[in-house]
Amino acid sequence: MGQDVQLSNVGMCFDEFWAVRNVDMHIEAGEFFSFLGPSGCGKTTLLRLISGFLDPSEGVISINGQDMRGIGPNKRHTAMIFQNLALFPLMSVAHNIGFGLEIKRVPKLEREKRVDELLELVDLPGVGDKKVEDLSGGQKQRVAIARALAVEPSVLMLDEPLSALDLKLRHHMRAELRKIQRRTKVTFIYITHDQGEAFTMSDRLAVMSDGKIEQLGYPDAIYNNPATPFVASFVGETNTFHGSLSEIKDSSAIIDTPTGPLHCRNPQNLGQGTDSIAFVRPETISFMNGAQADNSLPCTIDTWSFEGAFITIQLKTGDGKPLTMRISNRGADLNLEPGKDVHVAFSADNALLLPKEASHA
Amino acid sequence: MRKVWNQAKHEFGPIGLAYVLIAVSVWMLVMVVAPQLIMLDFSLHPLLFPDEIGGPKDVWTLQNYEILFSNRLHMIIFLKTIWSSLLVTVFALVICYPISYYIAKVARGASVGWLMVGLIIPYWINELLRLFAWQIILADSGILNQAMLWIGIISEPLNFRAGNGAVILGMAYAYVLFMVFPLYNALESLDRNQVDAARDLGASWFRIHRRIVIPHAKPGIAIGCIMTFMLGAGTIAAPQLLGSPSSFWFTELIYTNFETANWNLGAAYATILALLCLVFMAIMLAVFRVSLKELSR
Ligand SMILES: Nc1ncnc2c1ncn2[C@@H]1O[C@H](COP(=O)(O)OP(=O)(O)OP(=O)(O)O)[C@@H](O)[C@H]1O
Ligand SMILES: [Mg+2]
Repeated sequence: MGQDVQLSNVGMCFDEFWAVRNVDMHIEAGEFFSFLGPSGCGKTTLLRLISGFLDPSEGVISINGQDMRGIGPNKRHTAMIFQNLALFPLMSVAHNIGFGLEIKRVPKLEREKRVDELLELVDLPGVGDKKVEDLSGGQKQRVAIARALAVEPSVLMLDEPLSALDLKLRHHMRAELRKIQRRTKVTFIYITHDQGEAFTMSDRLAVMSDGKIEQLGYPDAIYNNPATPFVASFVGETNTFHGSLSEIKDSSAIIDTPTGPLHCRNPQNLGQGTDSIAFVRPETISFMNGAQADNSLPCTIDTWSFEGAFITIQLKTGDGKPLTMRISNRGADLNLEPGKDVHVAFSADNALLLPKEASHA
Repeated sequence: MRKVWNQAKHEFGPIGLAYVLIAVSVWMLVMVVAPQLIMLDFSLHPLLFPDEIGGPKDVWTLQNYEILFSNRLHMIIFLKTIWSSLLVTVFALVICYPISYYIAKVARGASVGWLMVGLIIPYWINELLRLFAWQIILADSGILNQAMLWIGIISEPLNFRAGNGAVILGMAYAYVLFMVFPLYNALESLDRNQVDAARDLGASWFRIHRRIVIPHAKPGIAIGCIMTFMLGAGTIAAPQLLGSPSSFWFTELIYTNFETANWNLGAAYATILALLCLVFMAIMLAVFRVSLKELSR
């Protein structure tokens, strides 16, 4: 069964460089939790802190309520799946999976039984005698999962485990991992820089940048209500309009941008005169259909690309700013032509206003 | 084989290939095979007066080899050489394994370079000079005795050079590098994550080394041991400079035989020494289950 992980003000400093700082969060027992962030933002460092390969420069990590200070990785109920898997090449598949049990001095017969069960669990029955090098990428992946699960960890950490696989296998393994997590109820801490992966697999996720947690929450909340400009632009595609907040009206606000005034949603209650950015997702923009809209912009069509279910259209606003919109393909002929003048619209609810300076409490 | 041949033809062209083949075979024949054969021939002939050569007594015989087994003293010296070389090998392995592991896997950045340089610098100096240095350190009125007298650990200077200890120490010192480099090379290629993975699965340091690091380093350990053993068994400088006059080594025995014009016995003993090294090599490869293919890794 999974255990919970508490990080209290955790920071990690490598000779004057803070790779992780002020991480204050809680991961529930049995949760599938992901860390999402660009390369070098400190994801692996955070994982190594939780598994005990690094000692935090400050703060405390507790697992299942127990302070982990001074407890080495070999004494923690955690298991890690390394970015490069780190299978033992000189051992057979069965020996790889049984390694942790061998260390725990589980008798041979029982060990073999467990290894067979695990091979069953990861859908690889009968490959126990093979050499690691004779397996395919996806099979190695599963062996690594089985090896980590063999020691019955309470917390399983996965460091971008799917990044080396091809697209199809990656999609397949996502579902597999999720299934295994549901079956074993182990707490999964998953690292990725692929937002699709983070969104489809996780119960909750944290977006990281520069060693800090930018936002933590449910996937839909993070996508629909990004809390910082970083999250808004890192997660999903978005259009940005820079401007100064000129007028506040109830729950909405108006900013003056070079493109013109825009009606926006103002969840952080920014005050008048704040330098701010409005974020508008491409899929929330539509062509004007005569009805009244909060924001409407005259544009010209630049290019478009047909993606089957969607059509992505690149536009230019009146002041020459590029704008991306995405509409679903309903089969009707849209009469798209480069250079054609159109009017596009989006509601104030879909224009999210955030302060230009990242507002950290 | 055919593939190698085709590739070589492609690489060098027909004339180049002919040159390479001729050069390699001439080299092998003149520099490697011929001297060995001449030595072997010497060893299989009895020691004769010049006028007896070519006469009826000049036949092939194993009598030179038999001397080793009939002469008790020679046998003792031979066994001592094996024993000491083994000791040197084990000693070098025990010292070099942690050093190599540290340089290859623990140290980071510039300190790796400094450690390497520190290991190599003593080898810029000729082996004889290094042994003379040890002679100075270990002499009755040498630095070590002086220091220990001054501290007060001893009241009389110790004669370090009485037994074989000084020779073994000198040999171990002379050949550590031949152990460090193969080990370092083998350990270098070990993925750090494998060590971490084993630790993550609960393994202690001892288990990690026994199950992960040492198996990975096997070819390096085998090569290092073979080199150290061969160099140890074959050295004459260390026993001559650091050994006491009363202790005699197998290489010194061979040397003396050549010096006293008994080339036949000297050649036989030299062949025995070469065979010993081959046997040791075969044993090492078998013990570490390393194939010759793995050695070239
Ligand atoms: N042992 C170390 N010594 C010094 N700096 C380190 C060390 N480990 C990591 N760093 C630095 O910390 C930062 C974060 O590294 P980390 O490996 O955690 O990033 P990451 O988010 O996992 O990136 P990626 O997605 O590329 O794997 C990097 O700038 C890295 O250079
Ligand atoms: Mg990483």
